[in-house]
Amino acid sequence: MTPKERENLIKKAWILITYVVLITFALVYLTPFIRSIIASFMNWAQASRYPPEWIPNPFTLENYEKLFRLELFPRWIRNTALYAGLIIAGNILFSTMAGYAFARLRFPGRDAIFSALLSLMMIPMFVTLVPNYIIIYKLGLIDNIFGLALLGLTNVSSIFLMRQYFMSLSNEIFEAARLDGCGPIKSFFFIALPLARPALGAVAVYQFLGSWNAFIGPLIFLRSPENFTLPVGLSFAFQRAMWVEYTPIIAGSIVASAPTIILFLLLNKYLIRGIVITGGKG
Amino acid sequence: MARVLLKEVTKRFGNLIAVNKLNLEIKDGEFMVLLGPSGCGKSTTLRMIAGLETPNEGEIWIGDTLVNEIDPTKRNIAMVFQSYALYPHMTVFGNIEFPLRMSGVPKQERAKKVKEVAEFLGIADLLDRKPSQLSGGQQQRVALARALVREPQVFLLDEPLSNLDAKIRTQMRFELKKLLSYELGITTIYVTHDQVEAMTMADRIAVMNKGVLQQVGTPDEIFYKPSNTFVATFVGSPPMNLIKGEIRRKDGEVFFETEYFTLKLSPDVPEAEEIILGFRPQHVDVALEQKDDYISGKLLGVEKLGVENYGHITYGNTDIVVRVPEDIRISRGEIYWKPQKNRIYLFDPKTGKTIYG
Amino acid sequence: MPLFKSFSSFYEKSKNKEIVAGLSLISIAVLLNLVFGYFAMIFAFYLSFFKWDYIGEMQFVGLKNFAIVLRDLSRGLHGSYYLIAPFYTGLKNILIYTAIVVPVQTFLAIVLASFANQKIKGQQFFKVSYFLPATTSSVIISLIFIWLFMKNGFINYVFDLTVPGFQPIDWLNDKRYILLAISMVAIWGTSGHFMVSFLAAMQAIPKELYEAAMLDGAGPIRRFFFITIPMLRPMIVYVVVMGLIGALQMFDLAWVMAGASGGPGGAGYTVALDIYNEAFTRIRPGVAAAKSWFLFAIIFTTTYIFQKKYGRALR
Repeated sequence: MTPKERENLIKKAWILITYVVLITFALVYLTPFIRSIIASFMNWAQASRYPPEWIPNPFTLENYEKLFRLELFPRWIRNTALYAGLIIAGNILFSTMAGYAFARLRFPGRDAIFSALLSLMMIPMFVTLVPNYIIIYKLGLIDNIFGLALLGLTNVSSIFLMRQYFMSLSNEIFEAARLDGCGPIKSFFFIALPLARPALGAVAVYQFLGSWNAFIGPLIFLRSPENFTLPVGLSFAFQRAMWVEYTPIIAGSIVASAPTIILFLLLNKYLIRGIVITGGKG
Repeated sequence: MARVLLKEVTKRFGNLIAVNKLNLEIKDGEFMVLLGPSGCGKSTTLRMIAGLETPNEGEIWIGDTLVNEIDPTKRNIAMVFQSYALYPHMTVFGNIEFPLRMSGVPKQERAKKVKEVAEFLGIADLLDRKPSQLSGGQQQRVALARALVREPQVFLLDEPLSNLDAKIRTQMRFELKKLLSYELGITTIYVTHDQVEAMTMADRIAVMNKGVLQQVGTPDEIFYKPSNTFVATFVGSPPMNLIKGEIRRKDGEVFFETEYFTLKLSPDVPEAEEIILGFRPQHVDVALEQKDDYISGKLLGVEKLGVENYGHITYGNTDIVVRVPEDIRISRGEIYWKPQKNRIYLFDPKTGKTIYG
Repeated sequence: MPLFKSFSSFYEKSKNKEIVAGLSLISIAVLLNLVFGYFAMIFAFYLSFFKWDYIGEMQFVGLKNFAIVLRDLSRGLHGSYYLIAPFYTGLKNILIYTAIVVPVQTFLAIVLASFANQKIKGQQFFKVSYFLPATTSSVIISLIFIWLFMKNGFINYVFDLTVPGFQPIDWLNDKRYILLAISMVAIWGTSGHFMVSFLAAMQAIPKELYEAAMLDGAGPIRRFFFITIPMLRPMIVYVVVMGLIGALQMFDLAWVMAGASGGPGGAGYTVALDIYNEAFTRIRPGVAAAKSWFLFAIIFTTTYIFQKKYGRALR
């Protein structure tokens, strides 16, 4: 074997190893999802069989029917959507306003206030959890989606993201607008806001992922089952053993994770780039 | 139309004095170029006239109005930025219309005015496009249209050509000048660091350095009558040769002496000892054989720029650049040169001020 | 100079306009963060010196709440039963959990990113599949894994297929395995996300560096250790710090998979669960606040020490 042939062989072997590793791990990450989707169409007897079976027989929608027969379940979907909607709206509105002001306007204390906000990111949520519970309790908003949403209407990382975005825009555009007759508020509405669409999209998507999947907040601030969100509701259904079988829980998990997964699959190119830049969902 | 007057205008950024006691008058309809290296205060001056910066001291007049207290929008000025600063989310029409919209002009009148100015600048067929779909030259025209549509009294341009490729730049240089000076006759203040732009476009040039106005004058005055060493070397390419030396008088004749050579000057030069002698590379006679009064030197190399060729001659630490004949054969070796007598400048070595020439 | 003082009123006016606009635009965001961030923090500090049941009078107890935590720790160190030393149990578990999760997920993410960072087909497919767990709620993930971890479940099946002599494990009901099971789910849930971060950082390394190293005679392995790893350092620090912050506060997975009391023998109990239980089950918000300060101190010191040693995290 000549050195050239040997080198080619090593290269080919390496490519093979690469694909074996990457595909194996793709299976590791994907199989739980695939297996759940399949099992959600099985009856529990089949889904719990050992060794596992892969083709639903009989194919059944029974699990989904059971799920929606529980009156709470559609309510949980609605509550989750309401919570996510409030959080997204609040963050788009308030974080954009604040981000613009911190990036583009000059006022006394600006940088000090901004770093004060940033340093809040270091505080673990468990420190402020109990006091916030008490505040919301005193406001009479416990067990209320609006009370829960109040805590998340603005978010330091959204403000940070919007500020970075507005700082990256060219100075000259804002100066041109100034000469064309825009004061600080007009240039927010006519220039900054329309230009911020990509960043607004990013904020909306991160906040959607965060609020749709949120657990500890809803767990603590919501008390009665009809006010639960999907994650709290499903874990409640599991712990109270609402069904004898486990398959409705699996079907519920599929329903609960479908919106975020579909959104991710649709936007994966932008999302992966964005999430890498801003460093994660939380 | 209006004149612009700056009186003792000073702008400080912290400890840095960006513009220092600037006095300058731009006459009605004049094309004034503010020329200088980056950081010389020319852009700051322009931005103060526009109202984007606050002068710390001094007065700025546009027409008969002291504008220090007047909002940028109401100064009757328009500005074209280096990056054009077109609003990327609006169409060309939206961009040109924007200042009218902000000042509350009715919709129909806006459309009419936008059309007029677009046709005038030959961009009427681009009105539906977005800025990102335009070439650099087209964007430039849209920026001009957006400025013109307000019918300003004064036109301010901040390095408007520096984002274009060399070829379009030359063409736009002429077009801008034609439009602003010959067709509209509008008072224009144009900031650039490019002396060629300044020389070709300006009615008058104001040369600035380190926040201080060095000289104001027509392109000819700036080139032939530089007021100090800074202007002398900043304008003209290659820059003027400057050589330190001493003036000696002997038997009624005047000589300029350095360590390396002696040069006979005309007898009318003022009294001085230490002096800086200046002459432009283009104003030197060159020969390959020894001639009367010619100075000999070692030619180190020749830069060929096409029509013009420049030879480098060294004496110790001093490098002298002279234009050599187009058909010169040698690029090294002995060479003989002499600056033309009536094109010699003398500068005070302490202040840099021109004292002769 | 009095002459120049008078005329600045226009600039004053436009400056004031900007100040008013700026302050009003930030007002709501700042107000909310002031209340739910700073006020809450101060309140948490205040609370940690009081005994309270949310309804009656607050009763000042000095450092007693902190003493409770310390006594809990010392009991735990002397080998008390886990129910008597819940904070110690949670702390011990969370440290073991962190020691497993953070290194493994970081290492796995780097390895997978290195494999994917070649000229290969389907790179986007791999990125999407690895990232998918990060888009799903940790509660949903836990619910699915409860099923997969059952004694006759899929995970035992896979181990049975791949590991010779493997005996089925009752993962979530065996106190020897529950923490490991939770760790595996956590690694599964976050490593893909970090892999995508690493891949992006690797792709941002200038090609010229690799070309220069190749000309200097460095093979692929040496290029990996002398160029890739050092260039990735800020990203590695970032991933480790984020991993530490996430792992030390772990709550959702344990809550669902082990239950609020931490499952068999408290083997799935965490500090976060303990803070929750103090506040809402044992109704001792003061003790909960004291414990949250301990948690804060642990997170702060570990991330601080790590960054001190290995350089600041990205951003």
